[in-house]
Amino acid sequence: MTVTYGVWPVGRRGPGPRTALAAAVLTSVLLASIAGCAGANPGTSEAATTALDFHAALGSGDYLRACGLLIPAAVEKLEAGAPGTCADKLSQLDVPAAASVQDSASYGRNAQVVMDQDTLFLARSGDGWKVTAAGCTSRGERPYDCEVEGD
Amino acid sequence: MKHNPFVTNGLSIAFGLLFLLSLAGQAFSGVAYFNEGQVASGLEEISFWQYVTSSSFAVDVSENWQSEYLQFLLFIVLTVWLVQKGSPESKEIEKRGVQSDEEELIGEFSKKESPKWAKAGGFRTAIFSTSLGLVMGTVFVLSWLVQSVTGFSAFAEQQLGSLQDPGTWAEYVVSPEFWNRTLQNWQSEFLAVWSMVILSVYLRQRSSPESKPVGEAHDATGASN
Repeated sequence: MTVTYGVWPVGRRGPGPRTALAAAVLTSVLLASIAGCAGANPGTSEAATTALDFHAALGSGDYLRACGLLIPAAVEKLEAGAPGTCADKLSQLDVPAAASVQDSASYGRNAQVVMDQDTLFLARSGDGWKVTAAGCTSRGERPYDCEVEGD
Repeated sequence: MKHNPFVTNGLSIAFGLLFLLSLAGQAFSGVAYFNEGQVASGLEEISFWQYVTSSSFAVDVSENWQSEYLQFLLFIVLTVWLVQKGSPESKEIEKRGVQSDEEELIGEFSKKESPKWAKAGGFRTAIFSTSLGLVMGTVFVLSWLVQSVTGFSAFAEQQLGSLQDPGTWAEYVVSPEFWNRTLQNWQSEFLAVWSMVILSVYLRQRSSPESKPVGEAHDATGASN
């Protein structure tokens, strides 16, 4: 993070009040628009849809489709170690079955979807979302403990 | 003799350009830094436009802006009452406090070329008399508010990236993250003001209006080029 040192106030030799007012209005508008862009959380419902799709795939035993909804880092981690594809490994994990979304939130490029029996984390990928972690249980202030997660 | 407007507005043009170039530099280096983190986490890189409209960029910009405008606000307002012996940034010791209408050229003491609101009297002159502080204060408050909103968004994004709950804005504005970002900017601004006030007592910059004349006494207060 940068820390800047301001230009020295010119005090009595400062710009005219009209110029200062115009600059302030312009600044405020710019700041407000930046805040507007940054504060909005577009895509929260899309993240929830991806979480539902992921659990629907797991529920129907379509592990290949579920793997397609994971970020590459999570697939790689699943496939590391003992031989087996992502689908094989996913079928052996104890990810609690979930069917409905209770809460969802997205900030920037990350999202969290709280379902009836599971909590998932997602990240933006292209125009959509991919699951970064699933089968997660809260550990208070510490990161969630997840059955599936990337590095 | 009529001067070239680029000459008569040189100071604002120069600092305007320095601002824009620095902001552009911050944006380009910022997106590169952000993408280093994305790659390290196995996530997709983002575009320049996505970065400059992100909360990460907005909080880095606004946290610096708010502290600059706070610096200006405090300096403008506190120097009405506080003086520093020997500093060209201070008024003369005897002039501390609010000055008379006559000294301020307002109302019946205004000149022909005085601004309209300085001549008007009443609430218009009262507002105009504090307009610099009001505008600086307004921009400070707005920038700080934007810092809190975008800072929360960026913080929540990081929290989610590390598999933690995002929290709320109300929790964020009393969090160590928010106050660390805020105070690390404030301390540098206050140090810069303090340095200028004190160093300008004993040091000179020939021909600069922020300095006393080179041969002026150390204890001459309120004297500047």
